[in-house]
Amino acid sequence: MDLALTADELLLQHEVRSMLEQECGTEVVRGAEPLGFDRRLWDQCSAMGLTSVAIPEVAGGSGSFMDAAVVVDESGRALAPVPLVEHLVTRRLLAHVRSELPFRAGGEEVEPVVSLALLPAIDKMWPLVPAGAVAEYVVGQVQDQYWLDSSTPPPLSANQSSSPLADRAVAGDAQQLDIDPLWWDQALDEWRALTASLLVGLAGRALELGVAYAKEREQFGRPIGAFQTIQHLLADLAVSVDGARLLAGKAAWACEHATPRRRELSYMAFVFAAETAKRVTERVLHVHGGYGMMQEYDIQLYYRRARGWSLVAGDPERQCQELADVLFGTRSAA
Amino acid sequence: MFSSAPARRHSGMDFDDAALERYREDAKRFVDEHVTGEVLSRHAESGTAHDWDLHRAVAASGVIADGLRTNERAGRDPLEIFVLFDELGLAGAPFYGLANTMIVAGIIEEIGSDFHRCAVLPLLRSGTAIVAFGYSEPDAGSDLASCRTRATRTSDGQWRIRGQKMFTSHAEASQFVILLTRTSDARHGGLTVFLVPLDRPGIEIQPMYAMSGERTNILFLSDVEVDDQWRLGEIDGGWDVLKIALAYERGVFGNTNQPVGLSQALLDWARHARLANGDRVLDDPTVRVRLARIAIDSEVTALLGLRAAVIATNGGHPTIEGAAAKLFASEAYVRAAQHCQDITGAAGLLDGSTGCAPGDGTIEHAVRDAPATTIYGGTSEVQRNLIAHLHLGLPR
Repeated sequence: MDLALTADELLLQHEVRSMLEQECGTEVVRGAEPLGFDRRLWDQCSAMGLTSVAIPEVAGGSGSFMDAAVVVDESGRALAPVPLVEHLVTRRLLAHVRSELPFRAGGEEVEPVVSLALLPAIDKMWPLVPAGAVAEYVVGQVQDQYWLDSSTPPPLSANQSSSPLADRAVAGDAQQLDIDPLWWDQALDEWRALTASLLVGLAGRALELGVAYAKEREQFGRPIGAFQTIQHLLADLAVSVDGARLLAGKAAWACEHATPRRRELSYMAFVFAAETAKRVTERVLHVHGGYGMMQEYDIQLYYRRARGWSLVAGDPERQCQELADVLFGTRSAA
Repeated sequence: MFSSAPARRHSGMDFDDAALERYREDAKRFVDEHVTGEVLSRHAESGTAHDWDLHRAVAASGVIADGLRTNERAGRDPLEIFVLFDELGLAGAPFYGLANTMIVAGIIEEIGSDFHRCAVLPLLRSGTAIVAFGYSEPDAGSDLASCRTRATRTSDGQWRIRGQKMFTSHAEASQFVILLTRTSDARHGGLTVFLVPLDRPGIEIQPMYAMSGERTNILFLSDVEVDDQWRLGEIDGGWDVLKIALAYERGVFGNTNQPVGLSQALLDWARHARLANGDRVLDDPTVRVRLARIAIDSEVTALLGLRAAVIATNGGHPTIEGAAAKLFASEAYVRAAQHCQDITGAAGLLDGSTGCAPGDGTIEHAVRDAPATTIYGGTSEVQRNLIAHLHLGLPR
């Protein structure tokens, strides 16, 4: 047992971080607003193999689910405007039904963006699909069937987190897929686990911004980071980020090995990472004082995305309810 | 594909807990056998967080004698010890005497003299003697460097110790006490540590009882005379000894995950108890959300504690990681105890002896027990200072 990254994972982390530091500074993040998607960066990710991590080899991918967690932790850190989590999870799901796909998953020159509708369709409309405004393919539920929609992405629904969200109609030429409901549930588990890593990356970087600002900003003749009230605030956040990263890692490990605790751990990791990301960004925004609200400062970018990236799954309290169903059994009929 | 990754690599970062589960099975078996009803009721009556029958059983298993494996010595896997204390904590066993004794055995191994190794270590390892900690004083809590218990060199080369120590838990059952004393004026550089037999003339132990029912003590030291051989570490080098002791304490020993047992007790109750409207308590969505959050906190507590233990296993000193684990675990325990009591309503106030307290009174007891965990072994504020300075690099 070793809870630290392996040498291979550290190398992967280093490569992805170097690429994103070079190609995805916050000017790129700002430049991609309001859509929240950068095609050039997507193609670079694809060329580097990041859009096929943890995809089975037969479907044109390689690497483990733990690798995927490492990659999206970095993409969260950089606020990279590329929907890696949705794409990887959906590609893994589609690997089950490769032969039915209208496209050759993997091996394309340019990787098409695929995503999934987290909530079932209402009147043949999937509501606010993550990456729905940019995905060439979306998989989702219509009643108890699964459909693949390949219509032209609708325009963005402009939103607080500058995410490519859009309602997505299930088009007339959508294709029904023979997906086992267990595969679908697994995909949602994997989405929670990887989104947890994404949010941990975001929270970790936001904390770094807070620590750096507290060391540099002076008030009352000393750096504000010398005040215990700021120190204790940041120390608590650091412990939460560490805890969230360990839990996200354990959830990813459970996904990789399909352990019996996969579902509960993915819920736990998602809920804790979401709360941590929201709290860290809000508190670090506060540490920045009035400047934190200003568009020139990066922390507001993190604050808005911490909320948006987690809220696409619905009310966080509902996630806790669903976790309770897994842990304690569903509520008995009154 | 990224250059560093060959097609299929072994899956890295390793949460495989098969080895851990073997340790856990062994620990559970040991606890089932030795943490008996008599042990628990003796603890409840006396408030002494030490039980000789249990302690001798642990010693007989070889755990104390083997100690922790480090880079320098053979011994038990720190993970095994971590799991053992976790299980002892879950069972509500009185293990503080054991934990403190293992810490002192570790310190003696690291910096003890030949005298300590001959006269004390065998007694600790065989389970015939235990050690209490005399760090705190009436005016020295988190600020241990303000220690005023004075050790003065006498003309015949002995030391005369005079002062007062607070919160020297299980001193009434101990043969030795670790004393932090002042030997010169320099704040941190004027402290010296002694390991003193408690049967020396001039030592008086006066009990104090916590709201949890735990007994602790005030130690009065009236010109206690000890030979220089009882000194542990250098003269005026006490601060370094303390740092070793605290690293041991937070790294492997005593990071228990109490909310696991607590929420299990609550769950057993909530499956049958009814609300005023006749609904099962466990079907109340607000109850379910609180229990789910406790479960998440417990998972995080376990992982933070495990991380510290794994670092120790690999030969490192988990100073920051131990502080993070201790801080999160204790704060989460306070939250969990309060949530569990809230959920049970007024019944959660009932004493276990009434026979109708939810969870046989474990929940009510936890509310009285939890606050101490955010204080002893270094307050939450001390841990936050440590994380802020050593981990985040914030200015002092």
